[in-house]
Amino acid sequence: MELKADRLTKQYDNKIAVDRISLSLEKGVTGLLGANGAGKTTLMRMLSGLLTPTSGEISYDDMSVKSEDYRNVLGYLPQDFGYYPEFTGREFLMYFCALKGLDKKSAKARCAELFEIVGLEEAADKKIRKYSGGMKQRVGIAQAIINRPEVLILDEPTAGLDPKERVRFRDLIGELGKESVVLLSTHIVSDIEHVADRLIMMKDGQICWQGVWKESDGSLEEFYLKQYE
Amino acid sequence: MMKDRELKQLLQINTESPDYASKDAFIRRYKKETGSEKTGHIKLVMMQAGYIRKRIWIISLLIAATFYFPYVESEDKLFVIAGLMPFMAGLSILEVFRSEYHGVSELEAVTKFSAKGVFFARMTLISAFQLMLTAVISALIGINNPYGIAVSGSMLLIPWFITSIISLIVERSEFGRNNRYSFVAVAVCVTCIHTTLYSNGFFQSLDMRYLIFVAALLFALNVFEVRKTIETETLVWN
Repeated sequence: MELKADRLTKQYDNKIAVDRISLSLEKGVTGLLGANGAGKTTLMRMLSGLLTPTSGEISYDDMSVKSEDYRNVLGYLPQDFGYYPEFTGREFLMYFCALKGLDKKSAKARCAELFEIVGLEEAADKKIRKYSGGMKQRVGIAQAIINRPEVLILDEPTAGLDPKERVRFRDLIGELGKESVVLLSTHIVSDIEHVADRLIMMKDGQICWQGVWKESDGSLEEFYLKQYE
Repeated sequence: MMKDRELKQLLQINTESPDYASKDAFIRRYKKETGSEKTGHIKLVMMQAGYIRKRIWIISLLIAATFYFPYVESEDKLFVIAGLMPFMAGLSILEVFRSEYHGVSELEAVTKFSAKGVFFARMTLISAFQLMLTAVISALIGINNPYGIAVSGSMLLIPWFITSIISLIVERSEFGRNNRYSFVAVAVCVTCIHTTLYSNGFFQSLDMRYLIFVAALLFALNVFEVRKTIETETLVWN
């Protein structure tokens, strides 16, 4: 299990959003920290195959990120995602189960399991447009793990969640990281501090620091802020 | 011999269900060993059929049913229905771009089928249905009219293709992305031009056989625009 990026660059007109980034992600949770505009979302969208890099290569084990095989093992939660307003939570998940290749019977069972995981059993048959921001985010996380992904890319997954829900999701992400390559982006240091095995910090489209943060290294928050001075 | 259901019940009684992580690991290992089933376009088209809103089918049928509207003179029927065809085309565009409007395309893009596949499946389904309706109306009109079936079909398809081409171009622009119902403006413009030309006797003065070539040309242009739309970055799988 290795997601590799080699000299990845994305340029929009005159702006270089991601500048020659090379990284290798293995099983476990990798936290991606960076201020707004640092290039986190662009990097994640390229790793998810949504954006074509201007230059550079991405591969997962022997798979090309262009392949259906990669999409079969990928779970992705974008920073902002939409939904069809007439769908209930269950219909939304059933739709994505079908798109991820699950037959109806397996999809029904999987949906029930996912609603339990994200704590939305009671609201499963309500229209998503009536959900609160946190509930919508939980459905988003549920759709990202429908196919039991080997690679899970989560862009700000805890945005909009209340403190209790955030703790719950940190635990869930930690569990998922035991068996998957998880890349978790946020600008909330405490979210990452508790769950990430490894950290990557981005600034101006480049990696400014990466490694394992130990408690003995001091306060991560202070170190993080120092990078942006 | 023990039936599957009995075996399942026995297993449920005598074994504990695994925890989430072990179950996940087992299913993933199993999937890796057996390999995942490759998916075809037909399966996706069938699946998407259930997700196309009923109003799209109903309005398309109502437009086609204008043929039976008793207050329209039989010689005017072809032009009246041709004038409504832009709205049929516009509706198909609205449905095809639904994922974009609602911000779901990014999620659809990371599934087995990709956003490009979903877009193409919806377009195939709605266009096939509307073209089938057009073929039926062309046959019904063409039998009793001096232009014949092919010319009648071309008369109906030309406004449909023009609306579809312009709407695809508009939808790819920033304006189209921010204005969900821009197709209405396109359809109204095409219908107005069509009605004005008809009222001024433009079509009647033409050698109608040329319309078949115009329709064929517009069909090719429409295919080109669909391809171009599919290749835009938001729909492309890397």
